[in-house]
Amino acid sequence: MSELTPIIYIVDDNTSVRKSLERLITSMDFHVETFTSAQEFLRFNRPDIPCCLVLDIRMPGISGLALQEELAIANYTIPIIFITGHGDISMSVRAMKKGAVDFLTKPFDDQDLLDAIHKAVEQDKSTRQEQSEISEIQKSVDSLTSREREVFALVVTGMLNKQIAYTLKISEKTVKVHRARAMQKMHAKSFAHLVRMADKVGIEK
Amino acid sequence: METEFQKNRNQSEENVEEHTAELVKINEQLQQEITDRKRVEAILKESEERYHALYDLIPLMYFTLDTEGTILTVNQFGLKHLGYEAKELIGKPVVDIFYESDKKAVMEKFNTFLKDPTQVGKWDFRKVHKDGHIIWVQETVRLMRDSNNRDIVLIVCEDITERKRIDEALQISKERYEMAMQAAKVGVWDWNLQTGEFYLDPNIKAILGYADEEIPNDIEIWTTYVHPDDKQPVMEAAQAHIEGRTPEYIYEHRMLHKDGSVRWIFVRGKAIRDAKGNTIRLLGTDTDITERKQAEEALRQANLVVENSPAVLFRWKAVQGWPVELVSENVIQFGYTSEELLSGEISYASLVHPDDLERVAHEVQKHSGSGVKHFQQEYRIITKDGRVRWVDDRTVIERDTNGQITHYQGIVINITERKLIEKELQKYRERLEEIIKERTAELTAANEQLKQEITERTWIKKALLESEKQYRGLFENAIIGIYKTTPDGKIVVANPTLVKMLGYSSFEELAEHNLEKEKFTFYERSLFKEMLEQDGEIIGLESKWIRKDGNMLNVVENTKAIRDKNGKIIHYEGTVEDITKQKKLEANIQELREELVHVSRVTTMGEIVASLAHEINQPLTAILSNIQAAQRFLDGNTPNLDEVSEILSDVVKDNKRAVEVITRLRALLKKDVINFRPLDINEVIKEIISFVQSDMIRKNVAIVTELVANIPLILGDRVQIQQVILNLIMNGAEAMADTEPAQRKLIIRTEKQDEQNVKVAVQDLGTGFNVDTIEHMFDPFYTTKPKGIGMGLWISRSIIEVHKGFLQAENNSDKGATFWFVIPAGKLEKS
Repeated sequence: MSELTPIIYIVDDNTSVRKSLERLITSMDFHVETFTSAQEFLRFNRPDIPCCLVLDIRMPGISGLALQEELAIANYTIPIIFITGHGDISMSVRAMKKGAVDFLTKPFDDQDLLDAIHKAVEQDKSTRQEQSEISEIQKSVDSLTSREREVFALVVTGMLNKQIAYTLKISEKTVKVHRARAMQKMHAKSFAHLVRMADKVGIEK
Repeated sequence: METEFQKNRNQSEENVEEHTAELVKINEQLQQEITDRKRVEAILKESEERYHALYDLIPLMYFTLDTEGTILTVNQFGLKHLGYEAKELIGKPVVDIFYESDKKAVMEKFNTFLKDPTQVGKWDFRKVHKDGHIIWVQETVRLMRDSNNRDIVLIVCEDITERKRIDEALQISKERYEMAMQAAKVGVWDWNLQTGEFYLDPNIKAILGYADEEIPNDIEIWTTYVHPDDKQPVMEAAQAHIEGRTPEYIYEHRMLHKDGSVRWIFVRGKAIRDAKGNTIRLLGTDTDITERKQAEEALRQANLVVENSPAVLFRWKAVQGWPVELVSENVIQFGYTSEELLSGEISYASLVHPDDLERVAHEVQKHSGSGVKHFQQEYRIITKDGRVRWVDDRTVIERDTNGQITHYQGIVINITERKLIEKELQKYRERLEEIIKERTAELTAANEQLKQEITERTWIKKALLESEKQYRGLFENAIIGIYKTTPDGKIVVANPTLVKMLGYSSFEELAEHNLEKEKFTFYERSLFKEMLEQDGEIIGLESKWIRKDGNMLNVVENTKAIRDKNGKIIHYEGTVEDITKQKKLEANIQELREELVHVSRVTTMGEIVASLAHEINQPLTAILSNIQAAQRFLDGNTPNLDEVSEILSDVVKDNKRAVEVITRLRALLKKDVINFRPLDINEVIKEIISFVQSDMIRKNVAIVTELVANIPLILGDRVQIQQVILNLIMNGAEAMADTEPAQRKLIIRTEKQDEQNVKVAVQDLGTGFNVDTIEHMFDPFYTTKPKGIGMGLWISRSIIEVHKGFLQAENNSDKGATFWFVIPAGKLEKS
């Protein structure tokens, strides 16, 4: 297995359910980590590998929904597949609104679970892709001088060089120099590319 | 001149013409008159002929006389009836044909009549037939005028000899009868102690149905007619007076009648003493008082009914507080003695429940003012030991001649039982109709029975209201059986109700049997008699009697031993009430209660249905996932068979678990007869917790168990005990709805109360309960929850009571409440 084999986390207080899910998901060629409670999961130091969370909704102590909220507060994005012993509509609506990938009612078919896991892992992968792109751009942004950053911020708003010169009270020629340096440092292939990157990291004036 | 003449002539001619016309007219009128008269004459003649025939044929004697009394005419019937020819009577004075001793009175009557002839005379006298026999006649006399305008007397005379004879015979026999009756009631006797001479009035012998000569005047022989049981005391009473120890010889005793019946005699005598005070003669009267005695006996039997019945008779004075003037002994059923009430020590008003007193007083006042004769009320009475009894009071208002109310007289009937049943049934009906529709029909039937019972009771109340003479009717129509037997089993008295109850067609048929020697009761009769000998009475014995057809009868018996002066039991008197219907009613109520227990259980299960689904889904999920994992493993290139084998053993385990959950669930939902088995209460608790676990998680309630090890087994119904614990858990969780989620903790604890008793407590940290509600919280339909039906605690308590235990509740010292029950530890016994 390559290092990129996703990890599926299972949180369920019921031993036999937990054990059977572990086997099933393992048989689907995923890595599996199981936890008996939300607390145990929160304490776990997770590796930076594509993953998703299969979460029982009804547990003593911190319930599945409470864990979802806690993770959101901690700004930890992980796709969640909820499983429940009883199809409680209001609960499922609440869970889905908060970004759950799927909501499965026990007992469920392996294919449904597999589909949900695939969807979740894909979602996690693209999130991770996005995250790494953003951090690359951010690195480039960080390499700009303060004057270059100022010019960059005004360029992406669509201002002409002349306007920028007037705004920053510098010569138009100087603006042109800073602009060329910024394009170079940001590895921008075109003006449009530069604007997209500025969008992703949220460059402001 | 000529003109003048002509004028006169014309005038004359005119006159003649006028006269002629007048004559013609008169002539015509005369002609008409003659025709009319002829017709009238014909009618009259016809009428006279008809009248003549009537005159001679009618079976009445007709005479016409002149005012001197001389016979003018007699009709044929009259002549024939008296045996005379017409010439022998006509022209003779009428008085001649009257009976000699009546003649003077006849003349007087006749003359009086003539003085005032406007009226019609009527009298009865005797006439004499020509052959001398006497004929009683009734004469009607009228004065008329004949064609010559002379006064004549018409006499219509009817033979009433036969009527007189019958009347007389009747009168004589009536007098004789009365004389005989009078004679037979009382007679005198005289006993000379010195000579031994004894005189006995024939009347006394007649009382016993003997002619004078049938019983010789001998004191020794006479005493043999005294009832054997009374002989000794009668002689003693006589002796006491002879010796001067009593002022008078008075005694009531029985004597034997010729026809074998018993007559009651009231004897009253007085001794005649010589100068030294020695008694020389004893004389007195014997009076037949059998009828009075019979009336007294009927009254006594009626009283027996009253004393044994739930109806208490009262007579109150119509003044403040209603002091009691008369009350039947059975007022003891309310804990008071008649003496207490009669002495004025306790007023009736103080018996009435304080909450009802104002209403009762108001109603009494209302009815008293309205002019009604009687009215009815229902209210509560507080018994002497403080218990509350519902009564039905039927009161008759008594007024004096001025219309002033002097007394109230009434019957107060204990209807507590009826009230309770009514109340219970009412509640069932109101709240259960929706849940148990199929039971409605049965309930209605039970209600019908109850209504009928009420109707019967109403009837007996009405009957009781009637006067003493109707007591006998009561005895015969009472809804309870009444009997009297001798200790050796002879049935002396039995009212029709008892006869019918036991399936016999008549008292005579029943009386052929022996109550002691034949099997009438289902229990050992000798033991019963022993108890009766010891205690004198047996009250409220629930037993079974056997009918003629062999069927069993559920009854309540009251029996009293009647003793003679020497304390020997001579009779048993008792009442037998058929409570078969009542038993059936109780059984119906029992059935309804069980139904209710089941319905309540299913309702509670419904509340945790989500939790139950979860409980079943867990093993199913594990099974499905395991099987699918195994398939995937087997589809792989190098299947790990050890792994697959492990999976399969887990599947078997989960399958068993699922089956177990379903089995237990089914047991809880099933309606089953109560089944007592030895149970480990800890196991029972763990099992029910597994059901509610998930629901409790949802409600954020943590269940903590503190179960003591080695707890004795209890004897109980698993499902019903679980129902109680389930109820207590659900209530506890509910009570913590407003508690901080992190604080919601339910502690379930078992303890060994002692070696014989097991205690189970469910403690919550909720709001606790209001002290006021503790009184009611075990009542049916009492609830503080907006959605509750209020049956949980009531049913829980009734279940624990069936297990011979008790269920209680108390507030914790800090927070929340604890409900706990104790059940005796038990071995399996067949009951």
